[in-house]
Amino acid sequence: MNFYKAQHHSAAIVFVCLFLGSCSHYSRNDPGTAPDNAESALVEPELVKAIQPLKFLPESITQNEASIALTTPEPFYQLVLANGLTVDYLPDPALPKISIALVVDTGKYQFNSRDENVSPLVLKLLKQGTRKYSKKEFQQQVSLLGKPLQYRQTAQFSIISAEILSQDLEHSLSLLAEQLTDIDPGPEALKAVIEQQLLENKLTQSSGSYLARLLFYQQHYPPEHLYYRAQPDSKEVKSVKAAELLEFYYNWYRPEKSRLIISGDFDPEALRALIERHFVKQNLKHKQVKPLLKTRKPESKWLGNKKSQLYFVERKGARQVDLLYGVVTVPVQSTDWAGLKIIATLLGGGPGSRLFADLREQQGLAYYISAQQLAGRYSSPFFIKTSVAHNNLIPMIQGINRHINALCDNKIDPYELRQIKQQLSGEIVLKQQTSQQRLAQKINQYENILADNYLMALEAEINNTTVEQLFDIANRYLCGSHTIIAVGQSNKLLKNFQYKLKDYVYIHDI
Amino acid sequence: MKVTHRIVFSLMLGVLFFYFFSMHAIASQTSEHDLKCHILTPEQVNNLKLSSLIYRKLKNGLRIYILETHDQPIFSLRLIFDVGAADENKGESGYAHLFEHMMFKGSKNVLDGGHFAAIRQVGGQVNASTDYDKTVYWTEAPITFLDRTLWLEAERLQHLSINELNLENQKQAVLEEKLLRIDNVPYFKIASEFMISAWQGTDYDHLIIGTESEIKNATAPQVQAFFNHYYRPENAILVLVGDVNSAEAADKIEHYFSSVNNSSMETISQGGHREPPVLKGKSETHFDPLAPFPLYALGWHTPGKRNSDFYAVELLADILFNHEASRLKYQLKEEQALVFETIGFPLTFEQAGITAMGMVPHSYADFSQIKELVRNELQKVQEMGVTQAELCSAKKHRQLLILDKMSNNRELAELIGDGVLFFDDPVQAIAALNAYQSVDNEQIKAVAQAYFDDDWLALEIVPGPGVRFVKWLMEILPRSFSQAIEQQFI
Repeated sequence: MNFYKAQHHSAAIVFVCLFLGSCSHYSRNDPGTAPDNAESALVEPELVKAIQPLKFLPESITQNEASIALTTPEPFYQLVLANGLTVDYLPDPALPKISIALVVDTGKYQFNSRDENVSPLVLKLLKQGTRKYSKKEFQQQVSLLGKPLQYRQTAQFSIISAEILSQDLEHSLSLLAEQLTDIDPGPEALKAVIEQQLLENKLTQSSGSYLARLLFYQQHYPPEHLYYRAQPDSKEVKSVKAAELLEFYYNWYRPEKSRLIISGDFDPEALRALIERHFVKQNLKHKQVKPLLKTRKPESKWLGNKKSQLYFVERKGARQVDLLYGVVTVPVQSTDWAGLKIIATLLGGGPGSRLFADLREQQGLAYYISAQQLAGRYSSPFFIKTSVAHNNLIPMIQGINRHINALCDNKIDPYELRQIKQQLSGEIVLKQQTSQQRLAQKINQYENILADNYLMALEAEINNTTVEQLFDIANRYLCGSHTIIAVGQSNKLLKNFQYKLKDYVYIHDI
Repeated sequence: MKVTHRIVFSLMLGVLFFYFFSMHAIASQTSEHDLKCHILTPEQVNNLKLSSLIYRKLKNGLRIYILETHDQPIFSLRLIFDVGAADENKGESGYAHLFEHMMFKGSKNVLDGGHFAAIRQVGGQVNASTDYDKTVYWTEAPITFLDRTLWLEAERLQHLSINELNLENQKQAVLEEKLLRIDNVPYFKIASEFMISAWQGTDYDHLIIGTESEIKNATAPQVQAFFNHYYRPENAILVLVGDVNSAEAADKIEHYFSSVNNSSMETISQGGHREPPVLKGKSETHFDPLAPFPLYALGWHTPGKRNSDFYAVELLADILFNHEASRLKYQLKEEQALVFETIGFPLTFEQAGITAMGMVPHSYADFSQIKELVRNELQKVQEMGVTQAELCSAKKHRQLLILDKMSNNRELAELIGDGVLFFDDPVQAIAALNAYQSVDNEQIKAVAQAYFDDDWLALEIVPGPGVRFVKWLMEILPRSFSQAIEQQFI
């Protein structure tokens, strides 16, 4: 359970966390005793099946429970300007506030390897001032919105978003329009964004779970694949030139390659007028330049493992192991994706899931464990993630494998599948609550080229999935070789693993 | 120069001056115009949907608040107990949080883990949290499962089963949680140790999650005693927000919860909290092998939630840290270029708070330089206050944070519950909107003088002695030299 809540969700997570906890005098068990502990853990406990008929619930209650009825949410309206800018908007007068996002069709993954370093720098450069405003002036204007503008990148998009009071609609639109007008890659600005990127790289690499993900992508996709590199290269970032940033900006930060998504308390007529005022007459003097040659491929065969692999990654001073179990599966548009989503939910979709009920609630091996099928345009991973004390690593891996094997050997109980379907339907209902959620779904729809009402379509696909199909999907994707990446102190990891798990190829000191 | 030429030159100069000054005046006017800032109007505040809130108190003392929202067929239920880590006895740190875990371990009629399963199976979200002042259990689900949720909550309050086996695996889970959230996170362990050392003598002088030894020593009878003492209906607040009919929902709650009685339970002692001592500043340096780079932190003891200065302190914190253009951030990052990044915020509990800022310094910036700059900036605020634009921006920020919470049932229930718990006012969120609105420059100056002095909490965390030495070297070398080679070290 969350015993505290973060006050801010900023990229600078280090500070976010700074004063929220309290102290301890923690002394861990001597890791030298781990092999003995691990040996005893080889006695496999009975497999806990999380979802069983809940006979304890009084019939007087369950018999009156209607099934969950999904209603199609009101669709966004759309407007396409003559300059190519698409505007999706959804009025919602519930509260005097508006969520707004400028989504530019260029993200973290780039078809050109050089652009992978340039793309995040250009997004950062937008904060450094524009032709109209110096950095200080721009930031002062932004401060009048109350909450700072948020800048982030997904796989496909660069997104600048704001949460504003209704009365600030025009001001926020004028600032977002300014972001498509020009940037100022002067020496100071260039230095600042390079420093920020280097710092960001270093900060994220200090996280064990992030390191595990980086390594997974590098081990499972060939270097020419779009997903190969999940972070800009620090060495190459240092050599990026201002001209490259400008060229990239001129190529991508254009009305016809952008869309504005707005939901909240506004008058549609007034919105249209404001958009006309700020975006139609936008002074776009810059010309699009010819893109560089593509060196990345959107899709290519991933590197399959012949035998399951176990990687050790050294993280000096680590007091816990960050563990990633993964295989590469399918893109979100695949007909198998819904089945994999069901399996992920069944295994590690929160409290009540098989892994949670067994490995946390029964065995107390971890606090956090989850399974997820990632949604991406191209073949994406299925992950199980957890963090455990070094001496709990072997029982944890054995526990995960037992649950995977159970899926490979046995069909899911029809009752359990019905419950998972109901769970996923309920989750969809909860996702329609706020205008912020609707805006996030709209971005996701474009991110993965999904239908307008894709949550409803997903629900239908999930409901049509049978136990036989799930058994087949589990066997095709999860029952062959897999990769486990353990990030911790390697001397403790190695002591744990010698002679204990024989079905893996061991690789360490990556 | 001939006279005529002089006259022409003077005229031209005059025109230029006139042009310059008039342009400057226009620029100033434009700037002033551009910096106009409009916070929520009284009408907008009046229209916020809290007026239909209903209240009922059961005979067993349970206080119930219900708010109808019909945007979606869902509900959020929040059960708040007035107990947190601040209430723990010496030697029992972490018990409030450990007990929160035990509430999901089954009861007379519900299997271990059955509570989670019964909610997750219907797509609901269920979780709990513990802080110094309260323990909260919340559920969010489609409305058709309201009865199921109410029954589950009432059942565990009446028939919770605590045994050594259940307790043992939750002690393990909590120790793993401690590793995950604190011990294995860069900077966090040291920063949290420092924070509670700054709170010595108060009820916040220990870790919410507890110490390893005290968690390990917890026994089932002790945990049962904790339940008997604090988990009583008169010590709880129930908030329901969602697609309900208020009167019907109140009857349902009464139906399920009226049988939760106090007869077998002891009375809660109202011993009250310790009188907080005068809190002082302190300064420490530590090594953290997980830290990717050095970190400086400064903090100030600021008042708790009930103090009338609370709102002005939060606004001042925003003015100092919230935006790229905010006072300290701009000075430290841009004007003087002493830090790569900085972030700050107030962390406020019922009895006390700390407003803190963390900074990643440039190689050449030593902590004393940064402290000097911060001291000077604070002095300016203490003497001259802040601009209207700064104050407005901060007010707007706080108003948006409240509106964000009002946009979804779960956080709306949180606003109502916290309002009752801390202020005995379920619509305190509205009062807060107005309170932020009414803060003026004089109050900002007053809280700057009262709390933001240089008897501060200063913490320096470095990755190791080697990095400390290199940084010391960079600090004494000419700044231009250090700047030139700094990127190589990132």
